[in-house]
Amino acid sequence: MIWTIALRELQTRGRSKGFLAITGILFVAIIGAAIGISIFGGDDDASEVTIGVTGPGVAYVEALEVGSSEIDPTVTVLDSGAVQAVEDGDVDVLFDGSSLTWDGTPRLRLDSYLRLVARQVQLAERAERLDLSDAELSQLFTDVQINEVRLDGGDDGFGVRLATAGVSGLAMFMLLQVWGSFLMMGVIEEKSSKVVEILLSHVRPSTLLSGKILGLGILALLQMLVVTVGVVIGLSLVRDIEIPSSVWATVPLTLVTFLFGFAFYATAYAAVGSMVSRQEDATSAQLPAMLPLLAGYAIAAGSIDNPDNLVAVIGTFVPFTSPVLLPFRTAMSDVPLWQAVLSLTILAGSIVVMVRIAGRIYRYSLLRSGTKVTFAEAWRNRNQVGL
Amino acid sequence: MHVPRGSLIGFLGPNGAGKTTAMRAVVGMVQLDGGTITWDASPVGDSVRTRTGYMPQERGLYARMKIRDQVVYFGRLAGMSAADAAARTDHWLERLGISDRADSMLQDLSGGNQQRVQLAVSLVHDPELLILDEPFAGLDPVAAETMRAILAERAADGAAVLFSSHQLDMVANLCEDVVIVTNGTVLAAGSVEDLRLASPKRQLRVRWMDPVDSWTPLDGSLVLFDQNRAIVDLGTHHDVGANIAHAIAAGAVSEITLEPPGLDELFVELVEADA
Repeated sequence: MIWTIALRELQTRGRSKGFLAITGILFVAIIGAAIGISIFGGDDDASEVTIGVTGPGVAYVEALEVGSSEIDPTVTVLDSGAVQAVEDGDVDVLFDGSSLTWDGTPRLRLDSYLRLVARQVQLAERAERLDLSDAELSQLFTDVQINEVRLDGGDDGFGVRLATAGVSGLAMFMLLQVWGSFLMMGVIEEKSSKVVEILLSHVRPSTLLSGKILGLGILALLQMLVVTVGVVIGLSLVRDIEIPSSVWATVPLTLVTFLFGFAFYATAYAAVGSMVSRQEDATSAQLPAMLPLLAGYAIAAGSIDNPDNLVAVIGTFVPFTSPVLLPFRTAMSDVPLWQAVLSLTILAGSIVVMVRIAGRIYRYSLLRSGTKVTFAEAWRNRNQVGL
Repeated sequence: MHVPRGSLIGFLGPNGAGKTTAMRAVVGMVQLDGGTITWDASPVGDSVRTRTGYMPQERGLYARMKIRDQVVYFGRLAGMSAADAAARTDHWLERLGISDRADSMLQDLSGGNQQRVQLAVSLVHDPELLILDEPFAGLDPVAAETMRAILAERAADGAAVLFSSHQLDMVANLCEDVVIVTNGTVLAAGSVEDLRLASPKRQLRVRWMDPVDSWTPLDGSLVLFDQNRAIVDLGTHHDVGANIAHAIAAGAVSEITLEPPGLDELFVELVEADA
């Protein structure tokens, strides 16, 4: 029976243009963003630049032509009209031995490259004037070694972490809300069209609700999988950026949390949906279900600098906020395993409680048409329905 | 109140009498304050519900679902296999004359055809107990006749059929048995004929061959007198025979009848007596 109901939900929602369009757009957007980052972001390749030299600057040609990992220079010697060449864009910068001429804002990497080279050349000249031996010279120019000790174990990729945390937190917030509203719309549709009365003459309210949650849950999970595949493909397209292990851990955890979170929130959305009789009242009706979710997202947004702050940690164990905070914190920092397990256990247990409470509101409110049912009324009369 | 197999029972009562609540209770949608509902000597529950066809007073199905899919879906919810549900759906759509619209969305059908789909939904699983809340409301005479025929046919096939209605002439025509309720209690139950005869009231109707100038009954109350005919309401305490003799004495009579009250009068009488 549950499967029959779930199947109908799958078919009607899955075939809808809205669902297909949203899923397709999400998939394309994520891969597109990843490709965009790998092409335009990153600065992975040395940028090709043209350096013009004039006057005393000519002495630096040889040193300037060496280049660096970030700068791939072409050096041109200019005489008359050197400034004009900068203005015309023939060269990116002009160096005359003592000053740099730019047409606009200096380019940071090129600027520091030029200053470094000039400094080295001038230091070498001064050393020569001091008549130092080769041994003394090499001693003088030996790099000062400053070692780095990182207490986080040298885990780079804050940007990738932040992006993953942001995406997974936002995805949880949005998808739970979107799919919760889908479920609520379905409940209101059945109530306002009165079809619910025939449905309930065949099946129990709990069966009806379970079937709807199962059907939409499968669809939502399919959508999540598509998005996840998009994210994985996207991440692997991003070249030369090491993906921190916490990011990979986030992916399966987000899926599991989403499943639990969906069961929890879908039930809440179904209950508030059953309390109104018209689609027009849906927006105000969903507030009690949406606000806790929003709170979770707000805590996540405020915890970017310090993902392990007390509020965020407590929120990880509160079922209303944990669906957003657990994936967010997992991506941002290293959440201990026990925290993840405890958080999911509490969430799973809360589903049972929520189904008991919201299920009763749902079964009472479904057959009350007309005015909006209040929580107090629904709870008072929770045992009036004979199913 | 009993609804045996093979019977077709009209469920009557004024607005707010509790008809809908009683019917909802049979399909388990409301909790009873008291009393029990049994079917085959066991309390109604899930197993009985799947053998029950229910048509609620407030009609409603999925607006954007093809009607064939819709009827099959409810057959499946009643526990039928996919093949059975499809076969019975085709049967009922054919029987109700809407098989050519099988692939239309419900919302594209006329109101009358939507009613037929609603009936198909309550019949698709060939229920042995059929509960219909106001099935004749909003039907045109042709559709009402189809409904009437189908309900009679289901009862003849051995199903127990209970339906509520305010169209008492329809009920009197369609079924032998009625139950009249008000304020949640049964006022009268039994065959229409027995209930009518059990009433203490009788109506005497006289028609004279030639006009009679003036006539007043011995007792009872005169409802109508227009020289050619008279109608008198009589109670048990009135002498019926003396009244008949008194009418015949006034002139040659072409027609004289003594009728128990009709179902509609009986209904008003019972409900008013209770109030």
